[in-house]
Amino acid sequence: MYREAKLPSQKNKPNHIWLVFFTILFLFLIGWYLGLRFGAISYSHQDLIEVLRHPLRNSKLQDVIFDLRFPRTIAAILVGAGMAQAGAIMQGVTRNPIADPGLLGINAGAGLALILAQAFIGSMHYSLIILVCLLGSTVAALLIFTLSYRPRKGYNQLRLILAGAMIATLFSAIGQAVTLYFNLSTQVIGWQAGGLSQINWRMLSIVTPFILLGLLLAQLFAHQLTILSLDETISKALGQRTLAMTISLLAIVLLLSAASVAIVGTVSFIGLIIPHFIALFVGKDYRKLLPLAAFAGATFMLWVDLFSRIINPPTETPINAIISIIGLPCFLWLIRRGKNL
Amino acid sequence: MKKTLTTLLALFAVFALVACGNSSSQNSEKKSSSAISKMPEIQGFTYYGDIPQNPKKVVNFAYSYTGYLLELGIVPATYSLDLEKDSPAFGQDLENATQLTSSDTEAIVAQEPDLIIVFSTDENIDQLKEIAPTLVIEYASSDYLQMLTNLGQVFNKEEQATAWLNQWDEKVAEAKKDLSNVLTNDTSFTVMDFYEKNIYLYGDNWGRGGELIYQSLGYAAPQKVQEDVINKDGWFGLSQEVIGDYIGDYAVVNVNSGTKEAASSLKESDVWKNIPAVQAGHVLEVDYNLFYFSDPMSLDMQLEAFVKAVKEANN
Repeated sequence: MYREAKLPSQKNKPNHIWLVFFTILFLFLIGWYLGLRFGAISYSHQDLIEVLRHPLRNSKLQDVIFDLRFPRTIAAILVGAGMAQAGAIMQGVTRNPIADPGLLGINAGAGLALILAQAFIGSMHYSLIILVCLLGSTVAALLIFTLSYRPRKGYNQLRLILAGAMIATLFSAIGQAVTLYFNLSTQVIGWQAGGLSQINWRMLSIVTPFILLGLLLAQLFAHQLTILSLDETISKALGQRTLAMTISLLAIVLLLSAASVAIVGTVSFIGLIIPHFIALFVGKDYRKLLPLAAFAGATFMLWVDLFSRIINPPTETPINAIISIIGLPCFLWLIRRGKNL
Repeated sequence: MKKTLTTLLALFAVFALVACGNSSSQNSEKKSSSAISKMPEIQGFTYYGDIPQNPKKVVNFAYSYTGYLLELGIVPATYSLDLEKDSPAFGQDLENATQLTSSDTEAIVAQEPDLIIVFSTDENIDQLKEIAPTLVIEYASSDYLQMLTNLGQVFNKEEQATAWLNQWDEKVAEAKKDLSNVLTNDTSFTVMDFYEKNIYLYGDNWGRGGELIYQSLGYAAPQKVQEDVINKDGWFGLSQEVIGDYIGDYAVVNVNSGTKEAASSLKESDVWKNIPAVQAGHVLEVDYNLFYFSDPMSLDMQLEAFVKAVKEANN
């Protein structure tokens, strides 16, 4: 029918988008509902409705549902969306299917900054921790970009990937050395394992603007990203200023993932699994891929957080353990199935 | 290709020979003149080689028992945790000690120890027992007081052990009497510490003040702590949502400079503020570095610090 008109990546892809969207929406709503009801304590449907009707009336129920679970589910949504979208952008910008925000040194930079601050300042209030992590990620990202950019020769993706892998490894090595030397492992292990516990409204108020801004900007740049992801020559021929575009997009990745990492600690794989999963259905058109990946990422994180609370209550399981256990088999399956990976 | 392989093999053989040579020479020079311990049969104690009765140079990896050794007058030449060196209870005793881990084989040999002490869970026992006589202790195989008697028997210092135990009983009884106007036997305590993403509770044999409060002083644990912590692993990671169910009349929170501000979001939450013990001001912050161990030297100082903290909370 439309044989000639389609991009190669869209070949043989029936129009599943709405089906995908509604499936995710369904899982999202269920995940959020269950996330509010279940955890170390289980509440009935009536309890939940009662609290939602009067969110500010103080009670034991409200203390848990509104003060603890609401912020953490919202954090899960923002972080999932941010990390998935950041991953999709990284893969587009570097034209490399296994790129993720980690290659921009986000996890490593934030981790090192936190460890150094713990070593030299000592114990910190959470608002300071968030600030330190944001700063660390930014420094790492800037360093990696500077290393991958050469005057007159410009920047190239391969160098970005290499510089990223190198700096990330270097930073985590320094981090480990400092951890050992100052005996900080008990203090930082929770952050490294990642988790949404102890997130409150104030933490959210610090990072939410960054993530929302990032999500919004990403939509505006989505079409340009599709063009950039094709090929350097093609995108230049289409009139794109590739360097400026790359820098803007990397800045968005930084915004999204640094803010996410600052509140939950190290998160891996989401930026890798979710975009590839969504790309199975919508192809590499970033105008559709980015919003759907964000939505799917948010849903995935909601479920991961729910599992982290209900696997072994009242103990919480670190989210990275769950992401790896659920995520890796899915990812391997995707690799075997997907042809354009 | 073949040439490289041969060279590699040759190199490997040389290394192996050198390594063997080293260990055998170590074996032969361990003969010393001092008396040999009776090596009594004690549950959880395993001996490799002839344990000296008065060891001169002890390489100690069983960090929980450092304070016991110090109490008996044996000063280890090495330590493994910064907590040992920084312990206010041990003072300057470990000032000249070196920090080692049990895999630092060469550094251990260089110490020329006449005794090595390790936990039974150590992975390097096989190498260590080739270096010097080795005493292997299973953690918590006897309770925290019996351990002093056990070590006293091994090193022929039973009198010192008994003397300390007797004065300890008196001190504890005195402290209980001192606190009897504010605490009864039914007053319940929860021993815990906070990290940025985790909350941990500790039972009656996991340090942090558990031995002192639950065993020596005999105060109660809340029902939930008894079920989930003491009757199970001895320590427990907890969700913030249910923390109120686990806190008794008092919470004993271990803090040091690295964790003072940790879990600020928890302490700002209504869930925390509405706990009766918190509202009554019954959160006792104690020094993590002092309360980490439960050896005689630490216990002596913990008791004073604990009495002081309880009195302050009730003023």
